[in-house]
Amino acid sequence: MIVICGIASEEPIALVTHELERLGFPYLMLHQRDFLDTSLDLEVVGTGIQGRLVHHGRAVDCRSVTAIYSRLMEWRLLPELQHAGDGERQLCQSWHEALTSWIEIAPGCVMNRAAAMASNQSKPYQAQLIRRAGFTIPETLVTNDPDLVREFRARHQRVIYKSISAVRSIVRFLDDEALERLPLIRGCPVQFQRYVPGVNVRVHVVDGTPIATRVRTDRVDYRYAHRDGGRAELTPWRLPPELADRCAALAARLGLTLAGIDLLLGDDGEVYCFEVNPSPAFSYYEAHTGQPIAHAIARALGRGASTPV
Amino acid sequence: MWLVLCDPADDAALWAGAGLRERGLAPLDVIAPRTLVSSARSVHRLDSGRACFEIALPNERVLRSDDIDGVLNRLVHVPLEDLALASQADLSYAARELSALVLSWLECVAPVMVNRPDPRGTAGAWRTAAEWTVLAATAGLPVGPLPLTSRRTSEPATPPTTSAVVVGEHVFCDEPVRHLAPACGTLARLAGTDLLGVDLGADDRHPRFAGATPLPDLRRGGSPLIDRLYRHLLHLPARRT
Repeated sequence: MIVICGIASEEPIALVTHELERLGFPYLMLHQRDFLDTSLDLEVVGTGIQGRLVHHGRAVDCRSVTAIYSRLMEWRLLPELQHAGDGERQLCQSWHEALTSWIEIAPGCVMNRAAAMASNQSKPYQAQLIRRAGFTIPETLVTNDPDLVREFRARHQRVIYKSISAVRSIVRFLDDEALERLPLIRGCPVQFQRYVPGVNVRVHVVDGTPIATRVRTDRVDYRYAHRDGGRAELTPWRLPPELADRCAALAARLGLTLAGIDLLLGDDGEVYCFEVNPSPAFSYYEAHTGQPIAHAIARALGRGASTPV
Repeated sequence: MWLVLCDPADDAALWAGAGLRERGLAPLDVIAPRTLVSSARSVHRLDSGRACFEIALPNERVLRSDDIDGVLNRLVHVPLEDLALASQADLSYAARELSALVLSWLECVAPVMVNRPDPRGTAGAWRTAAEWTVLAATAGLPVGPLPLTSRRTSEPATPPTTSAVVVGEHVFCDEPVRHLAPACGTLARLAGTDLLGVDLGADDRHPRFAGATPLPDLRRGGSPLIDRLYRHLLHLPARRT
């Protein structure tokens, strides 16, 4: 049995469940918004776990669960809690605590455990791990000193800035307009990075198998190119074997069964790695290229145990 | 230089810092997390060769990652009292940004740090009771059954009656639970922490695992613990560049 956790209609989840149905793999959807109709009655015994999940009256022995795909959203933001009382809110909290605890210790293939996902909370922290895995990272400065930023820009000519944490931010150039606001960084340090010209590549590593998408764009952040009239052309790309191995090894090193690795093939010949997304919204890439990412995820979930790399 | 990173109210860390200073770690500074995040000038650089930081401290001193010989890391949270921000949204954003930055700073000196930082806890990973129970059982500690249900918050089944403190390869504990010392040491290794507090409770007079923390009360081990911690800090592996 495969368990899917999250919001059933969310695109990546909907694609995965569609593939599971197509492939004939049995699965249970633990829909966060149905927390009142689903219970977890589990018990940790020694190194194992026993008990059952009951969903709309259907009981599933947790020992029959061989794989989990989790894309849980922040439970405090569920619409059901907008007008909920304390009791319901508490129930929602304990439901999510029990579920996330179980995901951490459940045997089998898990995409992904929170422990493995946590490195993405800090981009420069994760960059240090990426560097140790043999990837080049762009020169980066995190500071609250405007003078140092001006110096950094003078040295590298083109500089971008983005969030330090996992909070999603649009990557932007440090242009003249942004420079005028530079004194504001005294209130909270900001991350700046040398702009590297080249071609973006998103590599989804699914249980050790990389699937690469090349992105040609005329914007610094291709995810938002269409918003201001820019272009982003996504095409499937075959990774050179050495780079494919390095991507698979990086995902494994971070403990991620599913990863979205952001690479850049620099015009200078270097391969840069910006970030590893532990909960990739792969549906965007699949929709533009037809690459069978959901299929690969469903197949990996169907196999159960993760493939050691 | 040597550092103790801790909250000013962390008496166990302050006690350990004094003991380490007495044994000869010098210069040794006790630095509060508030001092770090309210610095008037902080610089953190990364490239393919190395990662480093410089943080201006009060009295015109500068904390440089390259100058740090070893750290007793008891940093548990990033204080935000000094941030003058306009809205709750800004404060929430700044909290995540500063936490992310502090984690990366600490990672620069992780090889000479006890405990090493982890994204799930700046002084070592915080784990749920279920995770600790499985890890403790794997380490060979006796564990009781632990309920994990969506109907109520799970509590450790056994209240603690004593605790052990692991420092590297050495375990400080009371005589009645001495036979569990090797398993406590294994638990610390599995948890990836040099320092670990292991709570033990008695059920039917048989001691059992009751919880663990990467922030133990170091005073439980008394002066011998500080001797061990001193030697442990002196023999940490060379800094990774």
